Amino acid sequence: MTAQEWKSYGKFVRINNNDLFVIDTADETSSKETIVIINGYPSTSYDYHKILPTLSEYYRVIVHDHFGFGFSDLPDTYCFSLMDQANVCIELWRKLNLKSFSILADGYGSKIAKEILYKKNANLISFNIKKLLICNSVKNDFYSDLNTITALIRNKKLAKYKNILMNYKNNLFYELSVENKKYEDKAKIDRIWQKFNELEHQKEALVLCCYNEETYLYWHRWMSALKETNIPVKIFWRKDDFANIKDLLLNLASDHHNNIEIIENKHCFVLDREPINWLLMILRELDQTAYHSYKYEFATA
Amino acid sequence: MNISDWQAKHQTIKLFNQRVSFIDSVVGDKVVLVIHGFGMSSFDYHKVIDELKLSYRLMIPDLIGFGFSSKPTNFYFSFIEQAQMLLRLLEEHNIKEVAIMAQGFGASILCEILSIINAGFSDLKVSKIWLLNLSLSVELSPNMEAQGQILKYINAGFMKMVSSFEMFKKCIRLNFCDANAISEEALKTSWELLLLNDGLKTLNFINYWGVEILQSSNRWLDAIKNTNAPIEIIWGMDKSSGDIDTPERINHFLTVEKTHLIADCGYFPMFEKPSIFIDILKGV
Repeated sequence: MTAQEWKSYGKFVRINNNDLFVIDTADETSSKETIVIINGYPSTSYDYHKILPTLSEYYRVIVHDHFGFGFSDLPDTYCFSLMDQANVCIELWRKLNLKSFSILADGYGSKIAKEILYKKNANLISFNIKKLLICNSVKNDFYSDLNTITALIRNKKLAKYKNILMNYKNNLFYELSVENKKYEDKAKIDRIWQKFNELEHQKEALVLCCYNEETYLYWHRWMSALKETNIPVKIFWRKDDFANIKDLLLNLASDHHNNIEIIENKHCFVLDREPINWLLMILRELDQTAYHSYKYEFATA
Repeated sequence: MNISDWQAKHQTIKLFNQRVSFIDSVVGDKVVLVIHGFGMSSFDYHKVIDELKLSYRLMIPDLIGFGFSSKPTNFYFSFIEQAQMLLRLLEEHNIKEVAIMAQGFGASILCEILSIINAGFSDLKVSKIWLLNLSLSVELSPNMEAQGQILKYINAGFMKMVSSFEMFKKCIRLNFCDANAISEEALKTSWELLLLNDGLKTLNFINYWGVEILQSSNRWLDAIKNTNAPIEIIWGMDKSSGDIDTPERINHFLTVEKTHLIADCGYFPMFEKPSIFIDILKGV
């Protein structure tokens, strides 16, 4: 499937004056249960194109591209924060008039999902969240071209680099430098700003570091969100995914709760290589009936 | 005023598994929520409460980690959570409309409250905003050197300040134009409030504040720019206040209704010039 074909399946929803690309496989009148997918960094809704036709037979599936990724807009004041991304999700679900759904969160999306869980615990949102599935669907080497960035991020000196970038995060920086005559010319400011926006990789580094920072800033908040919730949570892990194992150990180290189930992805299925098996694994935890019927259908085909 | 007299004025409520201590003057239609600066507590306002409560219903909470409120020592209680805690506090008291006064880092919490309201998670109406010394100083600083300097000044300043009572006294007095404006007794109470419940350990997370401010400043500036509430600035303009450039920057960035610049006054206008401070708040 080409990117343009994929685009034709979706629609754009206006959120905070920017267009968000959304795939919605059914509408409000559908009798199917709803599942929303929060994808990870730096993937897009397109990653799910192999499983979407099947999953949508059983569910109304909603998946969107986060702002700054895929077909969604890159807002002027670009939201770097997971908090903002969580708010965008909530705003979208409100606009689509969703009442009750399960969440499938992938990679970094799991942090957004935990923030949403926290908001749910604090009674800030009224959605009925039926289940939360947390997984990491990509192999680590999948985005190997990002390795330079990963190396950069692990670099202790990056903090300084990041600070420089952060100062260019919006043109406010120039507006505020009132004493600096150099920036008086508005057109010039716009040009500098535009130039900066063209340097994609700068932004990428920035986004990732911000995510990393939020991970430790709000670690306790998100951990307690998991502890306090009554919603069934299923966490998938596989032995070749180190980052996840660390998270998992932290989960296990804290108190054990009945509603949290930790499931091993024994064969290390990943979405792009074994989509059918991956989907079966998810369906099995999501809905036994759907799982059996699909398994049967798949075996007979 | 000593610490036990001060405690007698407080009420306690449990929110988000934390004990929140606050002053509520109960009477009055116009509610003013006061968010104190970091490292300090509601005690900052003890000189002006009696006068102000004649005009307003004052809500002065001790933020989590300060004053009589609980002080988590093993995790970071973020700005977002402080904001949510305050919103819940107002909700519990059935307050629908509020004027907010914020100092220093308190202004960042104020912005987070506005951002929560903007995102549609709360129906609270904010009718007025007063920004005190050091509000938005980091967020609006023009470049990274200035930003880093302010944060360094705050971090290092705090670490030095809490090393002993003598050091604390010295550092606090440096924030006053007239070092005698704060009495020995008030300093002692402030210090005891800081020490209470292992409070100094909360300061281990001091670096996180800076990280979170830099992380969220975009969202916060956006939120305060979009609010309809009229904004007033109250700023002690003596150089002991640490920052006298920000009022101009706020004026440049936001639509400010009035700017009250107080001469010969340091970081704590409510301490150093209580009568002027009261007059400003009453709109005299």
